[in-house]
Amino acid sequence: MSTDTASTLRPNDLGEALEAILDAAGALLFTGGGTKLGWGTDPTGVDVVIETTAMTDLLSYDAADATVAVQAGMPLAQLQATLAEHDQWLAIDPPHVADGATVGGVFATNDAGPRRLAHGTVRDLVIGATYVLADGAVGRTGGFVIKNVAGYDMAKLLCGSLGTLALVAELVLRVDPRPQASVTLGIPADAATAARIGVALGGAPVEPVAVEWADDTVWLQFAGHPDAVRAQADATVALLRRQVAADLEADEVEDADAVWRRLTDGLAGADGQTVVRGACLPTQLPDAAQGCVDAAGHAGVDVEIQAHVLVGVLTARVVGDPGGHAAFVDAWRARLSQLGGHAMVRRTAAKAAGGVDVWGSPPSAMGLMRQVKQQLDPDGRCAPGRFVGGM
Amino acid sequence: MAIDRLRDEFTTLLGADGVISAGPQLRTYECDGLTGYRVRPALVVLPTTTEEVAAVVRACHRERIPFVARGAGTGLSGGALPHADGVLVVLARMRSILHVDVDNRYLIAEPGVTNAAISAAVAEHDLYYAPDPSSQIVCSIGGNVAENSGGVHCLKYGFTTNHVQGLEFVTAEGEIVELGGAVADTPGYDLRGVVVGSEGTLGIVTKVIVRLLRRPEAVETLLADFDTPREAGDAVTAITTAGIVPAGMEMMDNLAVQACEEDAQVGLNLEAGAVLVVELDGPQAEVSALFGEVQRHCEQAGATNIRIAEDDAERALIWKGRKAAFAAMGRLSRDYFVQDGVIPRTRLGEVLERIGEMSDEAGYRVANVFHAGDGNLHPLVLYDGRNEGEADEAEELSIRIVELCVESGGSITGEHGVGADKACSMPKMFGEEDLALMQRVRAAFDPAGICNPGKLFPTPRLCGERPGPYRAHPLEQAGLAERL
Ligand SMILES: Cc1cc2nc3c(=O)[nH]c(=O)nc-3n(C[C@H](O)[C@H](O)[C@H](O)COP(=O)(O)OP(=O)(O)OC[C@H]3O[C@@H](n4cnc5c(N)ncnc54)[C@H](O)[C@@H]3O)c2cc1C
Repeated sequence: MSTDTASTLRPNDLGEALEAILDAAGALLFTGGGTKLGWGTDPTGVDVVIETTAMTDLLSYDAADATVAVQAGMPLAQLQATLAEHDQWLAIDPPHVADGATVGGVFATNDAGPRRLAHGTVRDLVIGATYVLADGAVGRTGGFVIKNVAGYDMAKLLCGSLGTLALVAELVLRVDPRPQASVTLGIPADAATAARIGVALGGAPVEPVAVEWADDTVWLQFAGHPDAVRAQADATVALLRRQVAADLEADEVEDADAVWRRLTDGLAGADGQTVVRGACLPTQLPDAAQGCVDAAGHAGVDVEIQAHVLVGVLTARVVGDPGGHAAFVDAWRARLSQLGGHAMVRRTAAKAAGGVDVWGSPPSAMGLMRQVKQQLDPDGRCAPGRFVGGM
Repeated sequence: MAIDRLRDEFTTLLGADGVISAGPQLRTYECDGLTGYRVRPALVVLPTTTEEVAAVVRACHRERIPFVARGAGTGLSGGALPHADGVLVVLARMRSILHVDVDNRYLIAEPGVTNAAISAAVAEHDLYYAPDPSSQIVCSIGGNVAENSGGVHCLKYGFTTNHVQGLEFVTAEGEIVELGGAVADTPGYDLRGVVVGSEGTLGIVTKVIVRLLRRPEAVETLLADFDTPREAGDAVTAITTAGIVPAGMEMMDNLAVQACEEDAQVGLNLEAGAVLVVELDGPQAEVSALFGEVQRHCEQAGATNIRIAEDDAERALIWKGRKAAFAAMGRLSRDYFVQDGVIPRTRLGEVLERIGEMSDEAGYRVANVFHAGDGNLHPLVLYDGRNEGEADEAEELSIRIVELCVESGGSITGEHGVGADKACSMPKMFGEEDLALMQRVRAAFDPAGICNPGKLFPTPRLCGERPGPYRAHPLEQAGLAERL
């Protein structure tokens, strides 16, 4: 992202953030830990970067109420460490936590990991937010209690907006009890088998917290009471042998933490890769995966795939000739659209940058989205051009 | 006049039986569940398709005539209160379930489908729709979306917004768009998330895509009696701090117990100062492991008796009693005001005692029946409207109770919405600028300001010339947060 000529400001709190915004002229880019600056189209002509990395305070935490308020720049790792002292956690497992991803950055990208199956994304966990518009208006939405329907839920609008509407300065979140135990199973499976496993699990009274397909394996995780996770894992294997394949192999994974770390890192990809997030209905996984392989063949690139089986979200990491990345994206997106799905580029290999279409064709509500943008950022100063439809 | 033109146009569009413009039938639509507020609409229309809804809205937009969407009219905040010079768009005839996808566990319903009909339609597949407002047999899914409705099982499973994946939506200018969808992570701003809970002020929902869940393997339910609400509150805190997330955790105080018992004959202990209903669900092993712990926490908090539901029939009876609570109140009192304030659940005991004192001081009985797990109180202030002045005094007490909730760090509404009823209380929770920013979003959706105007936001006409004074949020007072 070209922000070389921009000046960078690091406010300490909401008040300083507001001052920074009031003082700044021109185009603004709001950043946290900087781990997902590659998301979206490169914004054009950024004049001032406002970075939240000095806004790391815990504002309030009541374990018994299971709510926590933080400044947006608090590293997610730091928040999780604080919550862990009370056997709680913010129930998300996005990538980049070890690289310094902030709570606000995860919120602004709505980034998520395999556990979104059980808990949803950060969008489902935010109960309040304070934000600053480019014109210096400061708004608060939601509150400090889990249940609250007073006023519009502005946090939903800001979540995943890539900083194109406002700077998110503070967040209030609901937290969950940290499960006492977990069990991970590895089940060899091609895409078709993975989809069948998904259907069987979805229709059964078992509650896996993550079902990830990668390396021709379905990785299943159960979390909860120590006695119960084992019983659930056993029941699940019996069920899958009945419904999917009598000779289905299922091994308990010893180094589960390492497996889940690798799977989570896989969602982010690495330098030199183009990472594309595709989505379809869960049962369409085999078609979407085949479409991904076909697109790679067509574009002359190599691709690695992984999928949140029960959510219907696939991640493709494209390697090889950067000249083919754009063609891959177009071809896979076309196939996914035929299925009623869509694709978004999450990271672009440096050399492939120019030609890659990050967003694809605009959604049916594009007109409304533009009107929202127009109302909240009328001069188009927040990360110009970064979001869908060139917003 | 514009409204006459619209009547003729809509009669051509919808047929004579799709338009009501006079006579006693109009009166049916004067109010929603908040029966104290009544306005006769100029025109009622009953469209049967999305295209008809869009045509109606386009015509209203052309003529700059306000319109209000109405589902089943069970709302408790006057959200569906008609506009005297406007069109009431009743969605009750759009009640088909259009698509069921068992393997991907979602369903597409028209807005007039009742909440209970959704779960009923997929029961044969052991699936269900989680949010379960007490009014579920009658209220519409469109109304649920508009109010972001909750229910007794939302503690574990979340609210409407966590279960609605997508919407078909007619904008306030009459355009048909899709927001979100059955497929995850649709690109763009999460307008679905803004429309859920917007109380019909942004446009009209014409289809709803809901997520379905597999029925849990095991369910265990207990009723615990306590001498005081404070002890029951202590049990709530003990259970949640132990890391247990019950499917539901509901409390009734003595007055509420009496009303429910007379109505539903659940076998509640009429002597109990408070009764707590706790339900766990999930995989059998998980539920078995935790249910004993729940009982222990209740005992330690001072439960005088614990009754465990023997079977599904007994469980259903318990919930029937709980869900009939509002209706049952009619047996105790001719009239009542329901509040919907929220407090941090750790302050339950303290706030309930304060409500008790306020009730004594004001001389009106207050029954409490509420979602204890998430601190959502429903204090019912009982009065007799035939006696001069009682309605005003009772309403005043009711408002003071909700202010107490806000002062305790909570909210003016947990699930019933702001509507016409609490619009003037919004400044108690939000500053002028907070509200102005929400208004900007409203303007983005409805530039002409014709979509359910006068609801949700305080207006000088509604609330007097001066908007209510802004009060610092308790966290601000404590120096934990500041407003600029
Ligand atoms: C006895 C009783 C118990 C209740 N219990 C609960 C409870 O446990 N939890 C809870 O959350 N609520 C509860 N409610 C409140 C009420 O049932 C809910 O708010 C419900 O969602 C309203 O649905 P409805 O179809 O009746 O909507 P209506 O009352 O008709 O409308 C409500 C609001 O939604 C808007 N609206 C309706 N349909 C649409 C649409 N298609 N598009 C856009 N806007 C629309 C209206 O304009 C209005 O603002 C209860 C009410 C009663 C009477």
